[in-house]
Amino acid sequence: MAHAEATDRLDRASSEAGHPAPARGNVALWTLWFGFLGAPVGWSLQALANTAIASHGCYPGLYPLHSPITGGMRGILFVISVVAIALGVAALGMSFSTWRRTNDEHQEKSGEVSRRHNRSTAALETGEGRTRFMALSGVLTSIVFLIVIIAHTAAVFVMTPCGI
Amino acid sequence: MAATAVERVDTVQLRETWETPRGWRGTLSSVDHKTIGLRYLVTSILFLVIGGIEALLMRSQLAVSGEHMLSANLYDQMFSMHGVTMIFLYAAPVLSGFSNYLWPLMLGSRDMAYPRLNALSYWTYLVSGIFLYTSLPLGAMPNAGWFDYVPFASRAFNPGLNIDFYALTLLLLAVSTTVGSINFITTLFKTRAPGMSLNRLPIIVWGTLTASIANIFALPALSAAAIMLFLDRRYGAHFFDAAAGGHPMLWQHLFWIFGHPWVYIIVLPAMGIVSDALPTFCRRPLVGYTFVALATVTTGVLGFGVWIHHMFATGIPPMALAFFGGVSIFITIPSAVAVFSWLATLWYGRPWYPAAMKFMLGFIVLFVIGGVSGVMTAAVPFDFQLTDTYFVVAHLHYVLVGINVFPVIAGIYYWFPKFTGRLMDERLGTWNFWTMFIGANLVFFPMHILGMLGMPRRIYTYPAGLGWDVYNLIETVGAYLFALGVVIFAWNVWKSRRGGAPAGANPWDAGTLEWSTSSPPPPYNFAVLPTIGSRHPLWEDRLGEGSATSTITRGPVLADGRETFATSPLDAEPRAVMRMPEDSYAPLAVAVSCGVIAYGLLFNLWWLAVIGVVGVAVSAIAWLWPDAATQFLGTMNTEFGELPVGASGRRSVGWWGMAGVVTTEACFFAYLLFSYFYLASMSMNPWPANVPKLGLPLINTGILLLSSVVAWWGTRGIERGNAGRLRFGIAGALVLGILFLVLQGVEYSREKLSFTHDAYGSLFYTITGFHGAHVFVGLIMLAVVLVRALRGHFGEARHEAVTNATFYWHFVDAVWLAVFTSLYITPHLR
Repeated sequence: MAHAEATDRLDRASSEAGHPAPARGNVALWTLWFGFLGAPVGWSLQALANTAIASHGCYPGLYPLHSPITGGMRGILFVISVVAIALGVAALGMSFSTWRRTNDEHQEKSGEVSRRHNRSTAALETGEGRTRFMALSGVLTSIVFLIVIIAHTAAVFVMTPCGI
Repeated sequence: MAATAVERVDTVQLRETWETPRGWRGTLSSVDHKTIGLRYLVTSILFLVIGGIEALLMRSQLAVSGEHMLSANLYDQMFSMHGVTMIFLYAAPVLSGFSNYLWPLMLGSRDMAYPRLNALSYWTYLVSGIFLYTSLPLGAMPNAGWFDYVPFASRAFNPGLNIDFYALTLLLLAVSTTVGSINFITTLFKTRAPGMSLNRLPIIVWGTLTASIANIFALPALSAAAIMLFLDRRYGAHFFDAAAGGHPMLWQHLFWIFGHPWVYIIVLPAMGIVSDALPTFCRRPLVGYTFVALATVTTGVLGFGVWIHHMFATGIPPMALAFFGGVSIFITIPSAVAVFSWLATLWYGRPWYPAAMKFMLGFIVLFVIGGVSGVMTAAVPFDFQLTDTYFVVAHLHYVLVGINVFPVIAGIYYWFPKFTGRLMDERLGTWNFWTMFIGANLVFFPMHILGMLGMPRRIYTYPAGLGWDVYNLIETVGAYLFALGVVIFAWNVWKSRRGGAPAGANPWDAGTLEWSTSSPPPPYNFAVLPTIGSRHPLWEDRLGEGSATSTITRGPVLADGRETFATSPLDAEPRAVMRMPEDSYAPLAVAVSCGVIAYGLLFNLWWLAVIGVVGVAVSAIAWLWPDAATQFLGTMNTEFGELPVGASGRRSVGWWGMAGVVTTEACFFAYLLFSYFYLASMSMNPWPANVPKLGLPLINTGILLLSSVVAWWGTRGIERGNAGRLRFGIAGALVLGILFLVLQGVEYSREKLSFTHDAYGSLFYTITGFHGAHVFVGLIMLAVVLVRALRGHFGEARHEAVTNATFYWHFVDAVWLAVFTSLYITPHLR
């Protein structure tokens, strides 16, 4: 109750201010966090699992091998990569969706004083609206990490697994 | 509490409440973030000078071929101390200095979330620096590089105290950095001005936040490695001994799992300095704020996936190398985003070029050069050619000098007026910039060529006729020119501190909150706590970048004690009025006691180590003794409604600190277990030789899990106001925890394994021993909670200590499940 009151008061104290996240009620918080963290988590899993498998598969003890200890190593690496890509795509989709749904958050007065801060660039220039900021953060993070995940997946196909 | 105009606020009471007394008492007990921030800055720059002198000695030796001014042994110590000093004692602490001073001012708060922890962080850092440099008079300075590779660093090849100084220094620094990081994270998420949502933070805050979170995850790898190294060297363990099941590569993995994130830890806040200061001199906001904020975070995360690029030449299979080569190239995306953002800000702004701006432009140039050579070495075949040559030295110095030193000097020129109330001399600043910029390029650029010509790193002298002489001479001239620049800087600081032009509150017409208060700021930072409506509270009139405006000159005073708002993590909605602790000698006493422990371990003086442990315990009791700051004091009526005063709520400030401890400790155990599986995978012998018995450990696991259930049951009781249930629950958990330790002792007595026989034995006792130590600490917490519960300290609305202690206890139990599965179950599955 006290928390709800403080939120409400912040809204009103913001005669001048307004709540920093007026669209927070339109979007579930977990969707914002999933959109932000999904792709990095997918990449982390891919990097850790595939590094361990690719290293151990070619270097299972004190001596290196010329070919992997199991013929299916590349397939395992690929399956893990597909899971990472799926996680990244899901995160990108979810954050893009929340970004679209928060299109009008706190943008209404942008550009009134200075033309440099018009509505079309407000998201990048001012990042106004915490909900929209987090959604956009998810979009950007997911794109960067998807690029890295896909490059990693390409290496699974292109590279010779073993041999020094 | 009614709104109050700032000019009508009686600041006398605020000053009396917050001001540290003058004299030695105040000096030793102050917890003021501004004092601590300045101490960090001054101390770290003194270490920069010391590290610089070491560099000059090395450059003097290498100026001409065949020089033997320094012996090979002394040269080894010089480059090792230069690296350790610059990377651990200068580069990170100097950024902590900025953040400590600036964060509460930028965030609209009156201090950091844990002022005493802040003091502990500084004092421990100072103790670690003094500890490291006592190796100088003993002639035993670390001599295996800042990376300290085994087996050279093992006792067999390096029997003196040199490496022991290194390992213990890192452990002391880990204490300092970890508590500092937890403090930054909690401060950011819990003590911002109302309305300062995540999208309104200055970029330096994003930089330090990212660095702090990275510290929580990365530092335990270094701590685990340093502990293992010390145990190998002094107590006969075999973690890195290939002849007994260990492996030297384990050190490299652990060191670089820490080391590469650390590179970003010491540059991201510095990049934040530029992202915040450069727009001021361009008279417009940063172009692409969201991109830059995200670039900061993304760089920090990707920084965890590049550690193997330091190990390309160690024989790791090619596909694994390709994974890391790829990330090492793609990590340039966020860096490039930041660079283009700064260039766009310059392009669209109306820039002017005082000394701070010159240093920022110099930083951009050096950053690009260092970044490009980084991309080159990210290509595995290229790296094969240049590993351990001066090309790598050129790259790392362009990165560290360019992205750390230049922004730091820029930051000092920019915030010096805030620190002192005086402007620095601009004419000296121009000389300062050009000598350092030309000097840096003269000393570091030819290193690229020398690397291409095959000059290896870390050689103490070289023969004539290899084509290296001219480049080395140019580098040495550059080094002295750079040093001259540092002298000019020091002279400028000294001269301007007293004789600089008066600055006023906002001499640069900047837009962020720290410039709204006087220069230097009063002890209480703000006479009234502001409410924030945009990212540039001081530029709102001219920007109109959002639908909100900030309220800076009127608002809550909160002068009944050392008070500030505790706010919600995302939107900074007020949740409580925090009571901050008073000044205290306890942080200094804890830090000194930690130093005493380190000397005791170094010299094998157990009595001295025990005195240190007792010192820590006594100081901790004095520190944690319940006072006004830890009590629930009822409620206060504020502009934001009726808020609890003092510790309150399920996600109180204390909970955030405990979450930080639990996270970093969990990482510590994760690295220990990684070591276990890594060595198991490398072992050519059966691992373990004898499969451990399951009976007693299984019973013990059940006992520990039951203790968690009982503790949870008691906590749920107090949440419903049932104090009796709390007492029974905590007492039950306490008894079960003690029983666990007793049975662990019984298992040890029956165990035929030996700590010193092989790597498995070393790992078994280290992992279970550290877990047992954590159980012991958890028991102390539960015992304190039980005593307080018996004295009726807790109620339905006030039980933060219970929540935090049981949180830790559940963590200890969860770790045991991972330990039990790894050490006892997996051997049966092989």
